[in-house]
Amino acid sequence: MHDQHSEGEAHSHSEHAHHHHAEERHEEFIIFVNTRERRTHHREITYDYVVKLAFPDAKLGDGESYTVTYTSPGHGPSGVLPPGGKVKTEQDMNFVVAPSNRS
Amino acid sequence: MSSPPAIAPDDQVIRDLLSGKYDIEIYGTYLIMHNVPYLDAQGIVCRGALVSTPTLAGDIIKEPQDHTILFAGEFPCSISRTPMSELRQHPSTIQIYPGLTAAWHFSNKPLDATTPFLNSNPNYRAFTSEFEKLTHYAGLVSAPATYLEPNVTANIGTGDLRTTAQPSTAFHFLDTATPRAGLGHLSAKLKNLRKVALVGVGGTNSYVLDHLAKTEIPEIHLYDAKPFGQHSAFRAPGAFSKDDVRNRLPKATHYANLYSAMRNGIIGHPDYVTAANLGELDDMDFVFIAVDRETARREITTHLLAKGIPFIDCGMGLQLAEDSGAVYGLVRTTICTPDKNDHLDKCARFKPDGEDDDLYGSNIQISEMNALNAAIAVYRFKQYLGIYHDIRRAPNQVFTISEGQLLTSGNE
Repeated sequence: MHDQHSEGEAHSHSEHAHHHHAEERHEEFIIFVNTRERRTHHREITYDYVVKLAFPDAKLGDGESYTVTYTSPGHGPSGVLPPGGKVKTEQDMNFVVAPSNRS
Repeated sequence: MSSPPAIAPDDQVIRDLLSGKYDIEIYGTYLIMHNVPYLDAQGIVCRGALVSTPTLAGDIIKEPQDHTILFAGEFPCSISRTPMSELRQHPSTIQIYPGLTAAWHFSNKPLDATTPFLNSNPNYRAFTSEFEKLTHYAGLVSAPATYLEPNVTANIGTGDLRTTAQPSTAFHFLDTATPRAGLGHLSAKLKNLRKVALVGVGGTNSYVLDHLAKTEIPEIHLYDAKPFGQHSAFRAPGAFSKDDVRNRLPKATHYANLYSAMRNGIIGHPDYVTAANLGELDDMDFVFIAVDRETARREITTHLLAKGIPFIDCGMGLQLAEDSGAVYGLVRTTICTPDKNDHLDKCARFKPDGEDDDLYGSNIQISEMNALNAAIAVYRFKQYLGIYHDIRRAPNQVFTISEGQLLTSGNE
């Protein structure tokens, strides 16, 4: 149900206003980060990007630890995203970002 | 340490078998009948041993719940030198003790003469006693040999029980679950360890302890100075009394007392692990870390990596969904060994010293998530020991609640 938006609508929200090549046109993706729906034009999601979406106050690169997982509907990729890592964006990809330090 | 036989030597079944001049040995929870004659495939009379795991109540033999039996020897044949198909055998490799290995697992039941055959199929019934079970199999296996050589029987015992050195054990009463499942050969891998430490005995490591305590690991060292509080009782295995929560004993002491009801070798250290006592971990074969303080976690893991001591670090992160208020999050289990530890920094980074540990705000912990974290940790530990089969050797496993998936990483 989250992929009913049109290509046109997606492009109208594009962060990249000036396209030189057709392949730079980015589809809008709906992803979920810590249960919240988010819209993004990034074709790849980086560790830093998704941690900041989940925890805007996170001090990245300062040794602060978050565990990040991603899963996709169907046969899309799933796994654990390490610091510095990135993953190709899929529609309805689900991210969980949490410190994993409780005993 | 050695322990008395798990089966009472004066049990009525033992006395009856000895009166029948069977050659009987008790080894732990195994009841062994030696010198049972049989014919091998060449028609030669040989002698083997029937090995039963009686159903026990304490050290008393009850009616058997398992109609199968183990056999140490070659496969018994009939007088026509063909294998005795009525034994419905499976091959086995269970070592009872060095020098006695069961090669076969038999399944046969007595005929039930009280009910008529249905469709010409005979009816079988359960054994009514352990004595009947052993003598039934002894008669079945030895019949061809005794037919050819009438003087050859299983009844050549002295009337006395064989004296054997009993297996040593950590337990106050014997583990009957492991032999029943035929897993004695794997139990040895735990018994051959010396010491394992649990650093932090909160929710997760209390469940780790619950699993480890029921293995033959000789010594399990617990480190935690924090008192066992009222809230602790709701995140730990077992049931606790008001006195347990009133006493507020250090968790290490509380759990050492609790599990000492069942076994030896649970040693409580009512201390946090700090630079002052880190060296105590140098003796350990394996360490389970489940602590909230990331400065402690970093100090301990750094030390263990330097010393080449394998460990598992556990940690969970649970939060509340903004819209539904439901709990979501993840449960992380990370193993580091002398051969593979370069993933630790990617899987579980630690904050710099001195930062507020409550920076993240959320401190949601729920017993089943602690238990899940612990179960994954113990299974990964046993995989490391070769007890569980392992293909991926995944150094990091993260369970996510919303998807119900166990995601792995650390090998990239």
